[in-house]
Amino acid sequence: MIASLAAFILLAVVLPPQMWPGALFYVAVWALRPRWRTTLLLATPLLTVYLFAGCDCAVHDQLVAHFARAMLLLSGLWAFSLAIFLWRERTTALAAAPLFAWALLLRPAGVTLAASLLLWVILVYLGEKRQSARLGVPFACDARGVLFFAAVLLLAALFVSQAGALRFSLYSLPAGGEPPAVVRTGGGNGPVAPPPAAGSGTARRRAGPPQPPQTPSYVQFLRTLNAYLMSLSLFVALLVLLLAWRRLLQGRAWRLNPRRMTMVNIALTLLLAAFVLVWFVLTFHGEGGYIAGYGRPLARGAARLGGGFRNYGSAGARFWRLPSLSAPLQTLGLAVWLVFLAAALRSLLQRRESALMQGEPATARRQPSEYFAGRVRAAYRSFLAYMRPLARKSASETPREYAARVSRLFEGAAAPVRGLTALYEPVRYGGLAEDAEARRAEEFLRRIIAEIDEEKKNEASG
Amino acid sequence: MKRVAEWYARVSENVARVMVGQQQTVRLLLAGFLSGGHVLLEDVPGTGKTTMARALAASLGLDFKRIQFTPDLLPSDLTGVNVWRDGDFRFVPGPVFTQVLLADEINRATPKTQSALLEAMAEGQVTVDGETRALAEPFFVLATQNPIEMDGTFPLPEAQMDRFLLRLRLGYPGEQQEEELLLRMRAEHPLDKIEAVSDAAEARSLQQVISRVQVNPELAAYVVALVRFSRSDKDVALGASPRAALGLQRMAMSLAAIAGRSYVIPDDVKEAAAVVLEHRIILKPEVRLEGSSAAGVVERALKSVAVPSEEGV
Repeated sequence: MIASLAAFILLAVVLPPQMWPGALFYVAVWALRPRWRTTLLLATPLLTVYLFAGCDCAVHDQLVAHFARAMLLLSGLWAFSLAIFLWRERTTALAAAPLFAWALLLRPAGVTLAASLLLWVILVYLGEKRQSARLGVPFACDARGVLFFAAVLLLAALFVSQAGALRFSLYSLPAGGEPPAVVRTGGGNGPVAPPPAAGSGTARRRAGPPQPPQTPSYVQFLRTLNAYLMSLSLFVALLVLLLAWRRLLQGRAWRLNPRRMTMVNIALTLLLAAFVLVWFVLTFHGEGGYIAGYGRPLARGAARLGGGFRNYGSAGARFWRLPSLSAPLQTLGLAVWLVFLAAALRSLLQRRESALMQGEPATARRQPSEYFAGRVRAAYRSFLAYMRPLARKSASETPREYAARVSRLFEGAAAPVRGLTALYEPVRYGGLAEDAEARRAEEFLRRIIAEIDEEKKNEASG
Repeated sequence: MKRVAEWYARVSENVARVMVGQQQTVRLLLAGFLSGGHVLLEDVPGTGKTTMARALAASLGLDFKRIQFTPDLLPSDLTGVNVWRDGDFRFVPGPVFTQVLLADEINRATPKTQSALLEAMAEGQVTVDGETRALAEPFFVLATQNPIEMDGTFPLPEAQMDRFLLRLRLGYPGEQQEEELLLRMRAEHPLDKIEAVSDAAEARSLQQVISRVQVNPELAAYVVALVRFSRSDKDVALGASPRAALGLQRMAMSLAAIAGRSYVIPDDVKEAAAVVLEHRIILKPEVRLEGSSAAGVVERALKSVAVPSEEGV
């Protein structure tokens, strides 16, 4: 919790206010998780993007635009893989966090964020309720989870509304050329649309008459609606893709374990850091973008400062706009984040080294985790609850004795019952559990339920 | 724990070349040995008690001595004596100075001689003429007694029964196993060809490994609950002692290690309870006359005491 709070304060310092909702949301999601170091590793690439995006860079040439798109693609890939990892290895509710964060990075609009969150909460709620009904256990709504979601929802909406005009949006990057002139088509939180390109047909049509043509109100309304729905539809599309992917991988041995996830993170972080570096070099020494805190670029022929710097004018009237401080602060933030990352990696490596020094083989089990042990025990509890009306476990029966009895009663479910019991015993009596055990326990539970349901159906029909 | 499991597989396979169909007894026997306890084999003559002890000693690569207990056996015959030789008293060690001792028909010796052995079992040392001498390590006593023939015997008192970690019964082999026994023994006794597959150093090191087996606090409470049940049962005159609770826990730890686990599960405790508790429970005379047994009390305890598992379901 303290680490998450510190991370948020750090982000609040280095990020412009319009980036706060996403950062807050992202950090708050992890606040309830005890394994903050792994979390930090998992969160790093997206947070790097946030820090980088906080520079409020605009694009001036084709090369930088390509970099921007590549970075966007990378961050999207990472967000998507992290979502899948969370869905498969952790909890369903958390799986949406990186997608939200990414969607928010593309289009930070409070209304769409709130709508996406609400949709997600409803989906999770219905899913949990269905699962409880299927297992025959009483459904209990997690009050902490509801409060957390409500708080995030309120805070996100509050920050987005307080941030005022949201100028930054990677989604509206032009193909190249001039920086985008902001043309508002919706409300305060609405999207920004790039101006028509110089040689395009639209520009030619608009060039003739001195007065710009009056846009019909229904077109304006549709544009606004479209703008608001864009993030939501993006989120829904990602969600559908996630569900499809999950369905595709269901029942197969594929899984993205934390070690591989860490490797993916390291690779992505390094790649993103390289992008940041290239962007900075292009910005300061070329005709690339600009970095001027939260200021707006002047016209193309504006006076240049020495050493390739361009004068982009004042940052604006808002109290938080401190152009002279923002770039050093952001660099500092990035440096601190890298130190955090290095510390987390060092700790991981030291743990591995000490395990090797103690003579454990390289493939030794991971340290016990309360979280994963809890999941295995929860799966076993669900199994007992499901079996209660069919063959209740007596208090003096050991898990093995009970497994033997159930296996005799339901021969089809014998293998998964024995499997689940074999996973449960070390967790319950030895305190050993790892992520794979939790996953397999849940898989065994599903198979037991499916087998016994099948047997019951056959009995009923036969 | 993998080492213990490998050791068990090696030794039990070797013993199985001699003892037919006694895998379970060998398992319990080896667990008792790893626990550092002593075992009482109780069965009718000719079931292979002595052969079992010899096969075990030979497989473990330990010194083995056998002593036949008789009513005229003296404590000094067991512990050793100081004899005058070359102008000085010299200690001549008795059969107790070995690593595996087979005390055959222990209930035939007088209580005084029994006590001498039981003291050696408990303390791991003997005192002769005021001088204390340590016994070898490991020191493992396999005592046998015949439960049927009681004439001329001195049944072990309750306090002395408590010193045995386990009481095992070999029982008669099954029909097929008895046939196989005949086939094996036709030409020569397989005991003559048996070779050591372990040694004393390995045994000592494995006995220390057992201490590292994890016992969940709730399982320790389960052990205590079982022992306390034996004291509160209506049929029981004298229940199991705290020493029994310690023995039960130690035995469960050994069974877990033999299975290659580093933690005890309730099944280990249940399996151990039958052989650790039964001989320590003394029934009320009237109940005994009605045909009840201590095994029934243990069974009731196992069926009544709740196993620590998932609660609220």
